[in-house]
Amino acid sequence: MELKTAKCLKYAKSPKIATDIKGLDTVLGGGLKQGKLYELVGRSGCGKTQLCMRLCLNVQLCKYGYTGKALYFDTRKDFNPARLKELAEELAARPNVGHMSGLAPTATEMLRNVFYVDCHTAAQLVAGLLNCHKYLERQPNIKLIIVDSISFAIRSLNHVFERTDLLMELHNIMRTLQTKHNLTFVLTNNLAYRRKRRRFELEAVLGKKHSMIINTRIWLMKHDCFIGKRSRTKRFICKLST
Amino acid sequence: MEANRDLQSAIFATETGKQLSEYHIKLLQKQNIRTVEEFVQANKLHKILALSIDTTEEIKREILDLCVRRIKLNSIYKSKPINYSTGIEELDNLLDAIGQPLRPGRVWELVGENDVGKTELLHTLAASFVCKQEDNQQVLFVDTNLDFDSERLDEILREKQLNEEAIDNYLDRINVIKACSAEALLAALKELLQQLESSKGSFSRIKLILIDSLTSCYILYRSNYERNKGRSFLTELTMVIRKLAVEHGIAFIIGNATFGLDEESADDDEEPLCHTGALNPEDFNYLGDYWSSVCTLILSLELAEDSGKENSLRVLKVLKNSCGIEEGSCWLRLTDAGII
Repeated sequence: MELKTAKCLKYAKSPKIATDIKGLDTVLGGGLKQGKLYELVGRSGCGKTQLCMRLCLNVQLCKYGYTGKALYFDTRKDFNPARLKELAEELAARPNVGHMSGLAPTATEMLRNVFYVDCHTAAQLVAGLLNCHKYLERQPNIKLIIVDSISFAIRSLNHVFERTDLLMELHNIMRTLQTKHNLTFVLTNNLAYRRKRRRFELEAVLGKKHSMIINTRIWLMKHDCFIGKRSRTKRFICKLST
Repeated sequence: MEANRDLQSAIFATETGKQLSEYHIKLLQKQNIRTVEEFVQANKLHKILALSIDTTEEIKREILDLCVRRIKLNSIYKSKPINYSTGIEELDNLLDAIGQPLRPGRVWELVGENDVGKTELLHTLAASFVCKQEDNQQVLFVDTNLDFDSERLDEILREKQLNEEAIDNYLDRINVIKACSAEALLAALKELLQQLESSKGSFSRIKLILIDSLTSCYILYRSNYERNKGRSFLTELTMVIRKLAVEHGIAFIIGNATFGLDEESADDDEEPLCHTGALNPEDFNYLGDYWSSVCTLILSLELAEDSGKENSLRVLKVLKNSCGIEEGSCWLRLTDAGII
């Protein structure tokens, strides 16, 4: 039986992946933690993919002199290498970057550390995640796995039962990977209006079971950023400046 | 020797037993029958004592009668039970009012919808438990959804105006175990039980076990076959929990998610409240009827109605109380210092 005390967990600090959104980083205690499952929700065009790409780069310059790598599952063909390059160049030009990781990584080096898997269908996503352990064997430094728009993959199925089935399957796989390799997962999800007591409220899709399993849900709205799993329980975090 | 005399006097106190002689008692001693219990359970007693079966059975019956009468109620109630304080004033008042304070051996359930603050409440309880209880008592936090956050605990303790050393000391007494699946949870609890029975290690100091979200343990069971597996898991879990609670005086608080009625469909019926009143959302407990008989107290954490913009207010209601009043609620607030 593996017992740990909260004290040693407190001191076994793991590097965190900064989101570069100031208020959010403070609330999260410096950034995304290892071994947790995060979800970004928001309407289309509010910067989910953008933030994902930024995370891919930020994982490479975590503090404590360690360089992680990122694996990116793309279901919507939203991934834009040109934009990633722009972000990487901007990051490499930042004055304190070189200081933190010892060696200043160049933009191309950073791009080399982002792995990309294209999944057109839900089946491919499952296959990709199942194969993850192979990627992880080859690249043990992968610390961040991003599934950009899990809802898109799931919702491409017609039948509700199939959807739940697949979603739980995905969670199962992710959970196994997570416990074995101490990874950070970031999913992106959509918002939709739901009718509630004759009012419409914006909620994340994919159902309650799903939101039960994820650890933290980050809402990216037009101007504000929230944390919380339901629209009624979400907490305001900070303004978003774009 | 004490027990020996006890048996002797018990036998001589019975009608039929009076006829036995010292010789019979000595025979019993020879066979290593020294207590009343051993006497009643001994095989072939009539052969040992060279008496008829009828006589020995008669003695047994009478001695049993005697024993049952002899247990005095005050010996059960003599030891004044220890009450743990939850550290939340409102909650303590509520628990007092319904006559069910947190005590060793209690199994409670905390239900509530997603993200309403169950995990937060468990964190708070863990923190205040180690603060209020003496040094040797520890908490075990079973982390089923990887939601445990030692930094959050650190924050909660920091809000109590403690110094670094004290915080570390408290944190040291909160044990965490990861159990992401039903099997892992069972295995962990069973091992704990085993360790306790062999009474080694520091496990004997664990007095409170917090299980964060039982639901997530087997939310992944989907098919029909697996659903049955889930049921058997639940039964097995109950047995382990009861054993730990009764034999080792460990208190349990188990978090559990409920999934309310799908409000969409409820509203589409256009039927007034009586419909939803009959089908109380809380009745849709995810774990079924059997489970709800396990816990002696079920608390539900809910969002406060009409709280307007402020969404840090929560209502804690008593859903079921096996020993006392079934009604009551209190207001709680989510703060930086946990829940107060």
